[in-house]
Amino acid sequence: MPSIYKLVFAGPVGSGKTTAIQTLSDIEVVRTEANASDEVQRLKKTTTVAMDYGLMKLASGDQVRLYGTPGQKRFDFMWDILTENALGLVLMLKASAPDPLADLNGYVTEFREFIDKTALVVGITHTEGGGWRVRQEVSRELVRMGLPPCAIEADARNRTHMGLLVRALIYGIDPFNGTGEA
Amino acid sequence: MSGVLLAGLTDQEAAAIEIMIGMSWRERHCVTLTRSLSLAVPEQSVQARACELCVVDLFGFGMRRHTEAHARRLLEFLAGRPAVLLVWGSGGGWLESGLALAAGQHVQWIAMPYSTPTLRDAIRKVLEAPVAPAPVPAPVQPAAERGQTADAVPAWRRAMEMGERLQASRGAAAPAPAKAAPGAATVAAAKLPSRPAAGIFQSKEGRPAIESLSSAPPAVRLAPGSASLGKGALNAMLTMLPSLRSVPMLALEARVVSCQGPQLLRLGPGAAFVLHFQQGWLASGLPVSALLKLLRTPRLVESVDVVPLAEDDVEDVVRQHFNGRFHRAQKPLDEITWELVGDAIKDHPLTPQGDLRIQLRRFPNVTALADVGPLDVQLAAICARTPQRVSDLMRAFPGHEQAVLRFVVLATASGLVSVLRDEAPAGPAVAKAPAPQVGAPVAAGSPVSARRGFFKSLLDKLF
Repeated sequence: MPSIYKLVFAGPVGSGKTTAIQTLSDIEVVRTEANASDEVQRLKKTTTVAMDYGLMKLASGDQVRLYGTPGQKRFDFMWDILTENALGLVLMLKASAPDPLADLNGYVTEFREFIDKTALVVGITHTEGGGWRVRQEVSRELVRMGLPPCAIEADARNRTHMGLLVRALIYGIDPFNGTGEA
Repeated sequence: MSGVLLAGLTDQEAAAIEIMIGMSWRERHCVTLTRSLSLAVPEQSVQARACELCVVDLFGFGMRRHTEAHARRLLEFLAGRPAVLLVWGSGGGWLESGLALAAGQHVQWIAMPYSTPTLRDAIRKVLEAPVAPAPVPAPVQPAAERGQTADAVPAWRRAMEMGERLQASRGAAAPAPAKAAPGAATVAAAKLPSRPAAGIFQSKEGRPAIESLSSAPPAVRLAPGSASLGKGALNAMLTMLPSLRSVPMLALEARVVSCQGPQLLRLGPGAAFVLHFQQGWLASGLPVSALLKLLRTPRLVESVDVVPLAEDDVEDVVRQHFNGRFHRAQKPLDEITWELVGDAIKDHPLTPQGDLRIQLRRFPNVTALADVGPLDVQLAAICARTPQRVSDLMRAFPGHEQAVLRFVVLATASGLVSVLRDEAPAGPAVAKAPAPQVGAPVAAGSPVSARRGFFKSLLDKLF
């Protein structure tokens, strides 16, 4: 019988969560955006209010629901509910943000219990002009926090990139999946 | 259970509000009447009429501006029920004109755009208002209309409910998480845990602690005494695979690593690079593709002149060689090394003469690498989580031993792994020890089997 699974995308405003879900989804993404509040409207005119929702339909009949968490802290009440029973977390970080490491720390702290029980992969976006430095710093920080250093540069518009991120996440959840058939 | 009617809203807003209501008032359920293209007042189904509270976007009803006729139709729709009414801009005259409410009927007005807390507060005020009328008796609806009502519930919501039911029915039969055995037991930890059968709108207080959904063992912190590239990792790898010492690119890397600190690399009179492997960059005026082409010539690589640089001179030397640019000339050394070494060992058979225990300290940047495959991603994920013996990895991927060794070589040469100090005694890597179990036997149709099938199906979909 087909099953339904969840993947959660988190990250600060403008990191590419909505685009990432759109890139992977087989349906038009349900976007719950509204005018941004004062603190973020200089970055973005709209922001996700409750969630983004996308869906991947698999040949097996199973479905993967893709949820994007709100980018603004004031909507963080949604985080608990979206992560419940989810397979893992894709954290999108914007390399050109003022302090990507602070963003990483903030989200890892908020989601730590969930991450420890599932898996985390970090997609570093907006990498033009030195994203590799951020990737290296993020990897070091993940190791420092006792987490697997799964950080990859990614263009949220690129399906191959997003596919690789999800693949890395899946292997973080079930490391030896498919070894029998490999 | 009392209902909240969501009407005139876009699908997205209705979905968001439904979640918010579910979180804040668990006993409430929502009935949605989707906004029609014609922006008209929708017909109400049995369930819609039974709702005790309405959240209405007046724009979706075609009532952006207040008129007497609009007010009359809105009151008919509400039928005495309390409501949160969403208006646009300055209110279109609604706020000034108001409504002739029934006794005990309360409404809250919200101007778009609104925040979630604003909407939640408005709903709370209406719910907590002292007198609420009884629901309007629902007339019998034709079958066709009932079908339309079902469609009005967002598809994702119906699917989510179905999924929760399915998962709830499966949860009890699922096995407990496997415990990792000592030593190489990370390979054996592939049982899948049960999933909690919790409802999606369960309150935080009422929710059980999150159970592990992962079959992976807990991540292990990188050992402080482990060897990085500059502290013996490359040499340890070359000791395990001694035939690689004759590969010019790896011989050059061994020279570079032994020098420590930043260096200027000269290739004849025309080309030069500056690299700083501790900081992970290589500065070059050439694009990466041209760099790769140049360094693919073994004789050129063998003739490279390595000149150590003082830290204080690095920036000046880079600017001098690369038209005054410093940061723009820098490129990620791990990516370049992966590609170069990958090319250099392409046709080189890898025969291990020992073993290594490694742990990933950085993931290969697989989105930027041309010479990378799905197995590399899998091996990286495995080695990122817990230390792994190369021999165990080879046994876990029978038939792919060369690909495993290639990954170990590239990851080590690229500075992505640390070699742990407690290497196994030297000897044939393909030991006679029993092959590690990839997972416990999995019965067809079991939750474990279902999860495995799901992952395979998802990976097939992604690539």
